[in-house]
Amino acid sequence: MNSLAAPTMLEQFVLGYGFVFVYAIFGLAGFIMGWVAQRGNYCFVNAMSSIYTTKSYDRFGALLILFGISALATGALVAFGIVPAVDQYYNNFFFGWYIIVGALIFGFGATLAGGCNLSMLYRAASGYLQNWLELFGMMVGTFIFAVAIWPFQSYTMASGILSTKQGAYIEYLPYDIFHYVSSWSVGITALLLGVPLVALGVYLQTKTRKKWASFGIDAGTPGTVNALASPITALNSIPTSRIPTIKPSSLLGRIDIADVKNMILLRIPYSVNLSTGLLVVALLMVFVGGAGYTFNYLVITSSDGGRFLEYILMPFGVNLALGTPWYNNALAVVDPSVLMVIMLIVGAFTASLLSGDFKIRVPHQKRRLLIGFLGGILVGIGVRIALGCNIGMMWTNFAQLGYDGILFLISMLGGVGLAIKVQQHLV
Amino acid sequence: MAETRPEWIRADISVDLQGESCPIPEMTVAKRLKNAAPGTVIEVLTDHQPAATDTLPALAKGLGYQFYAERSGNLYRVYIAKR
Repeated sequence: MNSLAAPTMLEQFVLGYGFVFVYAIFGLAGFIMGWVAQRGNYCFVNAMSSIYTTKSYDRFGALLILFGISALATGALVAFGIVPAVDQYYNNFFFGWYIIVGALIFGFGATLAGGCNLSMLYRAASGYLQNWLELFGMMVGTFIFAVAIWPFQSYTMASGILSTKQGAYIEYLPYDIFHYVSSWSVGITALLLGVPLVALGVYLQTKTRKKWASFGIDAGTPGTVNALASPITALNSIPTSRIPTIKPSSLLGRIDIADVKNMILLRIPYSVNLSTGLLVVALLMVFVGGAGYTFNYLVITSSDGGRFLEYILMPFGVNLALGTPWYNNALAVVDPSVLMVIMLIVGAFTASLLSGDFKIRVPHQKRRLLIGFLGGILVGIGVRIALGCNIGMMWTNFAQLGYDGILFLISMLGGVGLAIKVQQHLV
Repeated sequence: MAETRPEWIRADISVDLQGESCPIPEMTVAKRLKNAAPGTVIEVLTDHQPAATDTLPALAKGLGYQFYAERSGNLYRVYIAKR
């Protein structure tokens, strides 16, 4: 690519894909994400809450690996001129108080509700009633944000009160570090951001597994699930003579042929690091497929999820986009990212059904439903204040070589920790 | 091949957490383990796969406790023995 001392904000239709292709790519990426997240039980909140509840950094390590590889891969695509830099920084958001406050509220609410903005969707599709209520709560929270918070927040953003005012390449780390956007500045920045993240993730996973191994437990290896001798009628029924061994966290451990076969046949969940790799593939599909159209939110779930209320009300003659703040400058009703969210739900539902995991689940404690709904409201408010969720803001921002994602991550960790403290009084 | 069911499997305490999702199963079980006497085996019924394959194993492993799980359809029986 050409060096850009003053980065352009113009769309560059370098790849020139038609919209049919773009929609197809986004739809397929959404399906893959839903399928993989369901099969890998991929939950950002769980990855963080495990630090507090089980003292395990295994899934949190995987999360850092996800962010690191995403940054490295998208950085490489830009550095080698396959995707223009503008596609990486075009939708880099402003930074301000709202990222920190929003991520804190989001982490708190999502932990109470039992799902981040990825797991909420695939668990709802797997039959978890609590996550349906979380989703509905998120719609309500989005509306509360739109009418009560967004006017104030947008004023602070426009005025630069505890906020940057420009976003885009101003928040783009290659530009911030080198004051110059070029293939080498993007490449070096991707290495500076991605390599430490991957290294830290691997370190945390290794440290956790060494701790587990130090106890020398033999019987019933943790992570091993054995089929009962009783008849199994689910689609993924496991003959009792051939018991698969689940290794949910295999990174450094061996994955043998039987594991691969059982994963393909949906008998066992995908390992967390396999899921990480597949999710990166889906993200890259969007990054490349959407190149030239500045869809570089890469993956987005909260805006569309929050705007479901708008879609629900439309048949009743209520159009929030006409007169309600935020809704009237949000995304179009039908665009590739909406399709992606819908296909994410379809993918998760399909995986859940075919694996025999689908079941309408109602918590025994009915107050969990209320907590799920209230947590969902906080999720809706939090993600909108933060300008995005753990997917559209945090993960995407790492892939965009921004820095908002780092601050979102730290603040969300705080919110999750606070919620765990509260939950300890409720269990 | 099927793994032999360990001899220590029993249910001194049984906790039904069907319908509950993370982080409730691991938090509930952690609390019950904390209050249980050494040698107690807790049986957990869950239909939340991550609890059976990920969070409860991690909880047990982190504490150095024995762990075993069985599956029938989407119902899991998880056993943790407190040392």
